[in-house]
Amino acid sequence: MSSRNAALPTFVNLSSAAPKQVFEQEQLWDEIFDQWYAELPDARDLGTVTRVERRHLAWNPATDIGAETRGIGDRMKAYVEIVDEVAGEAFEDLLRPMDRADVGSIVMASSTGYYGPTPDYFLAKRFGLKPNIRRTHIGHMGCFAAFNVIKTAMDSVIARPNEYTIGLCAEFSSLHFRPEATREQAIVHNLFGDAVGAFTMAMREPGHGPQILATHTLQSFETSDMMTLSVMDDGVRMTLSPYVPFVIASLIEQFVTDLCASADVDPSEIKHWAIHPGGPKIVDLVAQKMKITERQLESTWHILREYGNCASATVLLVLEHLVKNDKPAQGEIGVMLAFGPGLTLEGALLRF
Amino acid sequence: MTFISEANIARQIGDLCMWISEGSINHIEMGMSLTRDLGFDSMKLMQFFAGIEELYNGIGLEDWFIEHSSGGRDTIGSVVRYLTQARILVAAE
Repeated sequence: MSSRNAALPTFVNLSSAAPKQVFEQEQLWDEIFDQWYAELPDARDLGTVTRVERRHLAWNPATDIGAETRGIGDRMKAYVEIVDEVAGEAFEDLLRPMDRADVGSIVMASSTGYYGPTPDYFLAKRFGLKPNIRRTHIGHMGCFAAFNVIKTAMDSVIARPNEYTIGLCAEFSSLHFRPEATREQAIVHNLFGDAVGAFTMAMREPGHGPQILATHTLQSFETSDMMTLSVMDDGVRMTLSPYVPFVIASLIEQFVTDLCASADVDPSEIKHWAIHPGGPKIVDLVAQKMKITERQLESTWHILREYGNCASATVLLVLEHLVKNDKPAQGEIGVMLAFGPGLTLEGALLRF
Repeated sequence: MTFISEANIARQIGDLCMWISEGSINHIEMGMSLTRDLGFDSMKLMQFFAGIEELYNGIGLEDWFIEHSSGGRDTIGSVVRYLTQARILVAAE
């Protein structure tokens, strides 16, 4: 493990925001999903199997989509407005305690919207950041993209240790809901929600927030069509194979061992788990394999229940909740995990 | 380990699939995909994997699903062939 007092890339601040509209699962079924999925047997069961209770959604599926679908142009137009509003809220929270002139870079990920200049440009302009700020936008990598943001931010603060880097993941999956009556699409539309997760990263000694000791990536090259994102005329269509939880579970032990080995940490030292709740079965099987207790999963389940799977933003929401809820003691070890198309597994080893 | 022929394994796997399907299918063919044709979701796959482990003394299907889960290749016949091979390997050890 690196020296206990060394300055390392550190989450010095975490924030999040979500669209103001909140929908209970039952409300969505009463208002529109019963109509969309009328031909599926036991369709309402799909609303509970995801263990999502409520979600923040940019679009109300009943009134903004309805029985007919909407074109991709309408959806992207809505994205431009909502991303500025919600990402702006999280961004403003991060900027409040700091001098804006010290922000050297912004890194942003999204898999749910496309326009240029990318949203980070408009955030930098709106909040008065310097015109020579470095911007990187990471598109369409899916639910694990928080780690691409984190790793780019790490490179940034390691290269320029006197600067701060702001990282954001902004996802609005509700803009891509489509009335397609298959069980797979019904599960997707009952699982995904909208949110922004954000952080400020800087090089810091222990005691200033979770330090990142190591990161690790694994691509499973045999399973590329298990989870996909495709642009249709009426939105981005996501597919999700029922084998996903089992593939992740079969790889997770070695993955965590490799993650820990790169920082010379014994996996038995891990006290805190921030797991991307891609779906309840993924969390159940990962917990079973890694012997994670229900108490250690509280933040993961909380975010799934209250927000749904918010794609790349989710693991940042889980980490933010874990820091506030569990109040990890200084020096304790934690792990962040996310999974997405590929299948790809991403992880970070933290020291609080 | 006692010898069970491929035909017997096929019958046992067919019975397991019928049981998990709870009457929603009335016949089984070796070319049927667990997910595309039988409509197994992750809950039913879980039951299927547990059933296989119970029937075949802890043989897991991890290597099988990494190789066969995409593109409708998760056929009952592919499970039968995998288990037949796995049992031969276990018996040889």
